[in-house]
Amino acid sequence: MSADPIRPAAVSLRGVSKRFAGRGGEGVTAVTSIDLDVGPGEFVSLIGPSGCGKSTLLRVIGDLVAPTGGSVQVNGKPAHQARRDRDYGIVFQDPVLYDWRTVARNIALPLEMLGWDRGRRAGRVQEMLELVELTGFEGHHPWQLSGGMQQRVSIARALSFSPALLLMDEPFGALDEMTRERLNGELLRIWQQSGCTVVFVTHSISEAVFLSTTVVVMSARPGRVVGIVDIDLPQPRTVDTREEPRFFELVTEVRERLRKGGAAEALAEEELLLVEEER
Amino acid sequence: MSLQPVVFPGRLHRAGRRVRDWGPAAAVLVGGIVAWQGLVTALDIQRFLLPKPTEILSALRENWSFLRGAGLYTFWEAVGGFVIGGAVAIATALSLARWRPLGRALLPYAIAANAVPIIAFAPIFNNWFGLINPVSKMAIAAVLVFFPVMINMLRGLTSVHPSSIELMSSYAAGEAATFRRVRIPNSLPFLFSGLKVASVLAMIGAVVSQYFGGLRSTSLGLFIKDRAALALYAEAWAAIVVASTLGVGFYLAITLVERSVLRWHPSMRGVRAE
Amino acid sequence: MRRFTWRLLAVVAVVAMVGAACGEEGTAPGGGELDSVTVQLKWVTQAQFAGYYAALDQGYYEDEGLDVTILPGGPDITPAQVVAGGQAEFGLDWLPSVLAQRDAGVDLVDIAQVFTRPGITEIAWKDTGINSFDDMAGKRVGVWCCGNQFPIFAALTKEGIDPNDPSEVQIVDQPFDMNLFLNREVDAASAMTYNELAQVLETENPDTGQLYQLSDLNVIKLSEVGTGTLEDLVFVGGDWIADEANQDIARRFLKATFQGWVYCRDNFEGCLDIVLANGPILGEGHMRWQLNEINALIWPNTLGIGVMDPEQFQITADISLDYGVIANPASEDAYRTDLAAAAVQELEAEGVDVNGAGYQKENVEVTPGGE
Repeated sequence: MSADPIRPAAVSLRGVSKRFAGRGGEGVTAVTSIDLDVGPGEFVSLIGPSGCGKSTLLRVIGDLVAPTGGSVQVNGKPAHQARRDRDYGIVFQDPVLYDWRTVARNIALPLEMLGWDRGRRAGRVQEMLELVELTGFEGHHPWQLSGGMQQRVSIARALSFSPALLLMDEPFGALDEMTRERLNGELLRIWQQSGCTVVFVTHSISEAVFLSTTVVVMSARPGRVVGIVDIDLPQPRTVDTREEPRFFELVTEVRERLRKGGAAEALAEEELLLVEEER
Repeated sequence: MSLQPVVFPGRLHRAGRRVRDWGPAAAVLVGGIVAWQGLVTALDIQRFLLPKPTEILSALRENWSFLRGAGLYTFWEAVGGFVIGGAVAIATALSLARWRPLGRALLPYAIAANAVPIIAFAPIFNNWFGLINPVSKMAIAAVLVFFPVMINMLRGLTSVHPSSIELMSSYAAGEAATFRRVRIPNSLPFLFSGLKVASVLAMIGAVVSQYFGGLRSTSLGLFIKDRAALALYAEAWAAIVVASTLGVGFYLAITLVERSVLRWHPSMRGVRAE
Repeated sequence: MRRFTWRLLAVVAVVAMVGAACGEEGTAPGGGELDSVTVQLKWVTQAQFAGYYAALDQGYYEDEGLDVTILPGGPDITPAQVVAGGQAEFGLDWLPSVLAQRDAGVDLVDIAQVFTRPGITEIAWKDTGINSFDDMAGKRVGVWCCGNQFPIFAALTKEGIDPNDPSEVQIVDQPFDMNLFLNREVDAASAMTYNELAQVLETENPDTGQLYQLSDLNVIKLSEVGTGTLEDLVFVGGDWIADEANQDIARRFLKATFQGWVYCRDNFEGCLDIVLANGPILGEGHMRWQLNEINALIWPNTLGIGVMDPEQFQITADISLDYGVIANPASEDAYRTDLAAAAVQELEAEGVDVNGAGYQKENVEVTPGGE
């Protein structure tokens, strides 16, 4: 990438909690007493059972949801300032691409909003297309692409303005297993090339372990941090990494922490997936 | 994983597709007219119940200069109503989407207003704007146009994926930018749905509004009412054919505009790459 | 389950149709003698149709063994269509319209010409200087649609003005209120002596604060112009009246109807009350004016109420042919006098005055808004 190397962001949460007010007075506490530190350049996964508030937490970091209590620092600033300064890019499970824009113009959207001129935008779009290996598709429309390709465009868009932080909310959740594994590998490559910090929300233990430098395990609702597992697998990680003994040890460790966090039902689902992977 | 480029149909292919698209409808039209002529002749159906297509054709020819003049005039009243009603509808939809509390306050009244039948407000509009003034007819047509356009566009402005709004938030975009870049483009397919419905309603509104009075020489609707009352049904049908043709023409014109504006829409063309 | 639902719907539909059909023949339960018939009025309930309501109220129809349903008309109801479509046995209409229907192939027969003289006028504000039809060249002239425009078209044609040529005269289709006349959107407007004229007189003149007066208006009577055509009549379907049993019903209907009109002539206030009791849209003052004017269209007459004067018929027929209302000359089969004459004879035998020779109009004061 020809851009100036970015200074990756650090994220710091202290005592963060979020309570959603319900109708008729009954509220839901999504997360409570979250203390979390994400170092610059790290790849941190948030994993937990459904409803544990991991997506909410991601949105708190992005200032898309205001916490009920606690403080959030992103890139050395309060979260809302980081959002205003556009310090992060975000990728959702749905690619959220605009049908009326071509791939190129979808990627260029944040650049337009930042006021970049046409030439500069075109150059960056080309770079991003190369990064996500979609060169040649700039003139296509989103509905002409497969799900995996759309998600790659979404990633390209999120990184187009070289943010210090990348937030990802189960971005590969809607894709099939094979596409998912391949995109995992590509994401790691992209991460290393771009140098940003990544906070990644997922349902999948194996994905979390494969991708991250650290896995943060959350309990069932109300979500708390019940474990932080450092992933000491060597970089760069490849297809073979998934078959190393250490990989399975780490997966087991994460699963244990999940179970302790009261994720019994969800865990059954996880175990099924894991069993299939092992086959 | 091989990626096939998207194929856009060549000219011959497109012509073939056009025949496939329109062929069945044309066949039904021709078949219908032939059947109509045959049945009325064979069963000797009374003229005042259902005239033969041949009779309608000669009535069309005999009254052509009037029908053409009144038809075009009525069509312009419809277009005027369409433009007025559509503009007000779009402005209303934008306002209601932008300021949601306003929407909650006003939408019930918009729905209630839509329920008022044309025969109730047509005389009132004729009084306000003047019976002979084409604006009164345009206003009546505009009322019919307003609701479908407004409600469809509003739907399009508000049925945006919540993640899309979050995305714009992540860019620290204000409401105006979100409207411009997301809501309005998103609403266009919905808007055109509404406009297509409205084009037909505008023509109907213009014709029916003439039932309540106006200049005879330019009133297609009055001609229909008058001829039917005098049992001159072939002439009435001739005028109906003119009105319908203009209505369909209006609809097709909107469809053509839609095709060029919504070139990007999945429904317009394209094949997925895999 | 689905098949069951369709069968159920089919059964319900058949039962409904049978029930409706059974209702038509109108034999009263228990074998009563009344014949059920329906009469379609030309317009909404008002004093213009007082005779029919009086006949019903005073039991004249019942005396003749008839169970009569009166159907009010309205802007979108054409009596000829209703009768031709079989929803009524009797209809009220104006003669040119009946002739036009016949010319178009609809078989209708005028069995009683109730109004002896036309009540249609064309009115203009005195300050426009429009006194006659030749003053209307290049002006905006209001007419009603659907058969009511012919007397005016004939009058214009007589003066050499082509009503179908917008460059010679701008014909404006009037709605059934007088706003466009009051707003001066037209220079002249059609008005019935018994209706729209009163509507104008019942309106307050914003300049004077008083009601408009007859002296503010030029009232051009089409009967005086010579292109007035015969108006309210009773017609039936030609195939229906061919049946002798129906002829008997018709005669009885006419006899009771004529009695009703006689009642209205001789009992003005009583008749007015009957009309008001039937819920007319317009107010009492308006109905009072209307009943008065209507009576003047029926009484006095020479041949007896409802009996067609062949000379008058011919005038209307000629006008209709000359001015393009009908393409073929009207035949005398368009009307019959036997049924009305028989009814009149029966009434005379009972001592009823069927000519109203001594009839005098009442003095009616116009009320604001016709209240």
